Amino acid sequence: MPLLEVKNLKTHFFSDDAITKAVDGVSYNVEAGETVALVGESGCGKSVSSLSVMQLIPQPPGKIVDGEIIFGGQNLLELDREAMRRKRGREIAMIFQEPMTSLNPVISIETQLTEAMTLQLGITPKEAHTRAVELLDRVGIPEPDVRIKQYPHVFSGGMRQRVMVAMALSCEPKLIIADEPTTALDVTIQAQILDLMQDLAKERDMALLIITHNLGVVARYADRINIMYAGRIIERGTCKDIFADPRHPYTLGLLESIPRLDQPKGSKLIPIQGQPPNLSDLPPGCSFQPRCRFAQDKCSVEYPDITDLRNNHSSACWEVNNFKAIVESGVSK
Amino acid sequence: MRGYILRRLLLLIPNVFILATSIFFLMRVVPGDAAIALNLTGDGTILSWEAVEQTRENLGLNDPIWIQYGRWMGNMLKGDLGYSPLRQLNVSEIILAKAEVTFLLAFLAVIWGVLFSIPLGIIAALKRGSWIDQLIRTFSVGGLSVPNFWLGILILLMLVHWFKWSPPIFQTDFLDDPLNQMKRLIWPSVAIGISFAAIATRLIRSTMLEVLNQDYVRTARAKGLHRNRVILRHAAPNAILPVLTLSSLLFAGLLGGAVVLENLFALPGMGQQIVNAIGTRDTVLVQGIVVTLGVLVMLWNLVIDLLYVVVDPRIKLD
Repeated sequence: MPLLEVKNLKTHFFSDDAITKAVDGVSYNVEAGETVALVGESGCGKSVSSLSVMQLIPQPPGKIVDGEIIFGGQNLLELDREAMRRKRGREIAMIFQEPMTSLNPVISIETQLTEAMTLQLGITPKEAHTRAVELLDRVGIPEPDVRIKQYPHVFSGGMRQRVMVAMALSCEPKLIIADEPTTALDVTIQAQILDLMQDLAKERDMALLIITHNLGVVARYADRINIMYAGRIIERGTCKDIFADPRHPYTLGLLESIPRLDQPKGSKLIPIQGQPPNLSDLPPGCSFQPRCRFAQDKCSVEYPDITDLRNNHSSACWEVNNFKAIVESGVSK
Repeated sequence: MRGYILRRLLLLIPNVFILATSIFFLMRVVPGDAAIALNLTGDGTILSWEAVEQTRENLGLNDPIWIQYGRWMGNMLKGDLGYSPLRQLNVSEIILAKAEVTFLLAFLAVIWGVLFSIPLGIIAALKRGSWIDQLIRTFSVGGLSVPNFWLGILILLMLVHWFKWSPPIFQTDFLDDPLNQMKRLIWPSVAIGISFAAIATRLIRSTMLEVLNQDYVRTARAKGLHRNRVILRHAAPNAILPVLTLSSLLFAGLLGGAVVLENLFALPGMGQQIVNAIGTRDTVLVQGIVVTLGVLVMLWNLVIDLLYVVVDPRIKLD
């Protein structure tokens, strides 16, 4: 049984004149101790799907309208508010994108680190302090016993994200959801933070769900990948499957649009044409078809189901089985 | 920190100088002088113009204005605010006896304002759009539009008429009998504080709505903290910071409110004293009180600036 199993999750946002289907039937799972990535461009619903797991969607306007989120055998959507509160931080922790604004500016690092531990683990403030200093030391903050007394504004962005990592680890959760954990950081810091998270997760046998738009991050750290487009998962598989044998034109487009060291010198990057669709006004049929090089008549009529190829490599494209042939024949719109 | 306070205190000197100069010349524009008031008979007629002229000569009111100004300023430098010929007392003695009531009124008004506005503003933000929010917003618009003297009259009439309540008649020293003094001050200070509470409630409601959408509030919820702790420990301190600024901006207005309400509730404070002094053209006393009120406002601002450092660790004074 997987640690986390999201089934047919639908999170919609309601406004006076439109329903925005930010997440519209997403399913994925995370096994204990593994690293899974959820990849997609801005606005494809990947953050909303992770916030849905934590039930931190602003309500209203957002609402989880359908689906199941099964964590450790329990459907989180059936828990009452108090039971869900006890899961947060204790069993599922989260790291956010913006380290500069994710820490409270008027509360000391010590309080922010220890308050969850004393509450969720029931330990004394003194024990929590000792643990907090150890954690800061472990995430690479120099002089942790001095810095713990300070406030967030004296920390740099990378240091704050290390504090966030320490905070996420503090209650020994089984799963850490990292929502674009390195997007706001300098490139030089990005790898440090990701390595740190990976090491710590391995060390403590925690599962890691990384939400990112960066395929480079995914290639290096994830065991399995889910590619999201316009509120749905359009392809999933192991890292090797996705990079070596993409079976969806969107995945192919993503791979073609990043520079690679093994490409011949002077070859051009191929961008994905067009704009991501408006989630409150999706095109008919497959959401990607208006931008797809290989679109056929069928594509604008019906949305293809996600189909299993082999060993959990699946794709939601009508041409999933002869995708390679089509790409090679170079049929284009 | 000590250096900062010292610098701020030194800055008081030019501020007080400008204030004192302005009020001195303003009072010279007003027709009439204390000599007339000193020579009135019981039925309100002037004894004789010769006597008035003689008094003017004795009080130095016939000296050129620059001489009078120089004399007053010179005395101020020595810490002497002058002598009130009408009351036959030193101005500083009068002020010392009356300042407590005025300051306590304004201070209590701030306290009521804070005590009302923080919970109301937070509740309104949390229950945004509900009937509670509507009710609180109605209160705050009402509080803003009702003038404090009218509210004072209303409170006074209601208390006397319906509850047969009347404030203690005798003034006592706050330290000797705080309860008695509070009984006298509570209602007038509420009348002054309502408008402050109304403005602060609106301010807290809007900043609270903003703060609740901040990433750090989401972080606090993601840690699994109780709702109350998220609101009171993580959101509220950030939302009430602007109220400090507001209280320093509005403090002068609250002192003005105290002047009016003291007259209404017959409280022996500087406000009652200054109205009286203006009526009798007791210029030296008016000037003394205005300068004192000015210094109170300046000191309050200094205290608020120091409080910022306590509440917000990002602010450093030096």
